[in-house]
Amino acid sequence: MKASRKLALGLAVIIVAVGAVAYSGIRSAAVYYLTPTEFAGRADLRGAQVRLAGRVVPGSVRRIDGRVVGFRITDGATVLDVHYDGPLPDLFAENRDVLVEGRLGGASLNATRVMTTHPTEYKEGTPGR
Amino acid sequence: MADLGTFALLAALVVALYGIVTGVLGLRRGDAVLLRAAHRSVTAWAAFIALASGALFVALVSRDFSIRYVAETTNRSLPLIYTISAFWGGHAGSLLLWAFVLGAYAVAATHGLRRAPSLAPYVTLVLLSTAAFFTATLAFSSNPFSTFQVPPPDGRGLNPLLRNPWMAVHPPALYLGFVGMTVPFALALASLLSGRADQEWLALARRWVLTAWVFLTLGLLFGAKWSYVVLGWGGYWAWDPVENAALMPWLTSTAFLHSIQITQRTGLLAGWTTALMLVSFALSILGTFLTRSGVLSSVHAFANSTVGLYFLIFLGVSVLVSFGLLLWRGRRVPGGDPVESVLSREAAFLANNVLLVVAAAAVLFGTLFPIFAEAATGDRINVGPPYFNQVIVPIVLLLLALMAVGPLLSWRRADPAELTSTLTGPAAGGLLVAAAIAALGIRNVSVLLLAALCAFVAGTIVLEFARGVRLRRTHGEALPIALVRLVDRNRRRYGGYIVHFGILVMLVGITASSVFSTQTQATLAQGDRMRIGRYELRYEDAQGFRGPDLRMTAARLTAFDGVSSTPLTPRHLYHESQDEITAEVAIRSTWRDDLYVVLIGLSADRVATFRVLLNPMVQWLWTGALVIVFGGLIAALPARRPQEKERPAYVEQTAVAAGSRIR
Repeated sequence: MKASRKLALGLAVIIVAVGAVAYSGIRSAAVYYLTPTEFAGRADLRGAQVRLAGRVVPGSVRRIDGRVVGFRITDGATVLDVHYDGPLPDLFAENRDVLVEGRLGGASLNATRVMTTHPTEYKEGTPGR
Repeated sequence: MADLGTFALLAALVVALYGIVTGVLGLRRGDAVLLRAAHRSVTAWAAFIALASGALFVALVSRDFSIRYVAETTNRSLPLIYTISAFWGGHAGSLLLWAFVLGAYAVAATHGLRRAPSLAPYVTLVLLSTAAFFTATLAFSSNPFSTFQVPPPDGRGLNPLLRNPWMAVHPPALYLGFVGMTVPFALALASLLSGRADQEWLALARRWVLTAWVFLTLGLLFGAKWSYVVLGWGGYWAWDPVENAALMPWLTSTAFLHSIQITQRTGLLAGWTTALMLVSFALSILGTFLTRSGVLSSVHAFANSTVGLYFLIFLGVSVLVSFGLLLWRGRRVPGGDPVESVLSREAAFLANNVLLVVAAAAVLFGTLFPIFAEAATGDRINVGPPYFNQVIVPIVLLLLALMAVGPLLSWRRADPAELTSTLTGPAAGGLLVAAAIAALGIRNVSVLLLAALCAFVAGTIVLEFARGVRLRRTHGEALPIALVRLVDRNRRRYGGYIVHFGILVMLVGITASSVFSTQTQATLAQGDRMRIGRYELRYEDAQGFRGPDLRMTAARLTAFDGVSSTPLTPRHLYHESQDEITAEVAIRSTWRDDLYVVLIGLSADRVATFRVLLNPMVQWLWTGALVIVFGGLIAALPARRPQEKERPAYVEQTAVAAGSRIR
């Protein structure tokens, strides 16, 4: 076999392998981004990894020994209970907008990650004059 | 100022269009007078853009709140440095910065093109077309000089997260990188358009690409540093689309900087090298588009922003035109004989190129996937770090293997026996390092592989330096002089090795800090202690301060590592005018690890909650990036001696190889 053939074959194998990894990876790494109301209406996403945006309901934060173990979030229409036992972002507080990521278990979301939403780096385009 | 700025933008647009028309007519008629007019209008355009930039600068510094942009990004209490950096703290201003940087580059490029009269008119045309696009976007869609009917008494102020020294320097560095791709892109197109299709453009483009690449590296570094010290999550890279946007052109221009060496030495792959340049430019524009159009937050936000449409059209046209030209004219690009042996420098470079391009494609796929998914199904999804890590880690490992072997291979055909004897030492070193790490109880396969490969590459780099230095020493040079001269006389080659070494240092830092980071959260009363790793932390007290527009809470801690104690003061800042809280992280950084403390909450009785992370070897990441920049600068310096200039294939080896195994 000519050298350029061999090389092309080897590189094709790499490309196909990476393509396969990318294709399978994108499915398992995809996280659906929804509001609690949208989530409630999507039976097909019951077992999926989701990221929900909502505001921490005042008075809903549950603690054990001062440590947060759960809270409820709302988008104004639907309230969802969140179980969470892990590190919280620095700006977590009642009435703050948060993103919770996890899967539904029973009636609550078992969150694996809680993030506060911070303003995006850049603003939307300002309208012209 | 608003009128002056708007006038300058419109005048710049007119000048750019005038330059395009005279340039096209001049080329058609072969009219030197018209061509000179086009050439001059580059400078005139840059001057008007500089005038507009000056107007915005004055408006910001004088806090002219009748201008919408000034009112939205500054206020009276903002310190001067951030009033200046507000220039690129918002959307319209950062586009003006883009244009300003393009102006500076374009003037430098057109003046430097006197040596290449056949390319100059086409370069001028491409630069002016890009200039016209950005000026039109500025003038009609994102005018930084749009005004209020009734000016507000005070501005809204800069987003608190952007009030950080790293964020003040990150956008300019990034834009110097993005925009820097325009000039070599123009050279590539000029080569195709002129129909000469020789390699003249490559010699001119290499240093431009390298300059842009160094700035992109710096831009990525500053952005990562900002994320690390400001966002308070303990990391520096989240595979965020905005980050990916800067990484993709970095990957493809890295590929270009490797493939250009094959093309210049052997004449092979001229079309491929050109394609890499075109792709790097397209990805720079895509990067600006992704961060500017709002398409990332939602397809619907994008649909409502006109600037996104402008960018999409420009991107589409430039991709179609450039690749159309490559297909049409590229056939005339002389080919060359195919690769002679799989065990050759050409083959290694080719494999490196394919891996880098595949990496860029995988990042692009993951970055754009949510946009297409939303457009297709309406579902908003996020592609998380697991996808990117899964794809990138194997590619990085393969690239490291190539990095070890590639530079030692000779062109055309390497001698396997000789190669084996050269590589035995470094390979054994790699295995030894992996064994030592495994002995520490680390069983993570990726970590062990990475450590082995890093040590392997480091070994081959040291070997290369040692050979070169030894040869010079036989001529009686002292060790330090021999080392400096070795690098100085072969800047491209040894600059490249320094970059490779920096990559190793950076990868060690990235791996250690991402795999072995630990974190804990603790609520402490005054005087309480906590432990993390080798550190013991004592919470001393907390204090509140008031500043202009700012309420600050600072907690004082002392960190003991058994030998010395270090004070740490994480803070909370409340920005009154924005009603926004930001955290200021306290970091004790050493070569071994970073102790990273975030103040999360403070109750009325001064009981404080902290999040504490111990991130190993983060400093290696920053240091490695600086080494990369240093190596890139060395390689970008003009060749010192005339015989070091671009020479035809296989000539340099004989000069360098006297003491090395390359034949």
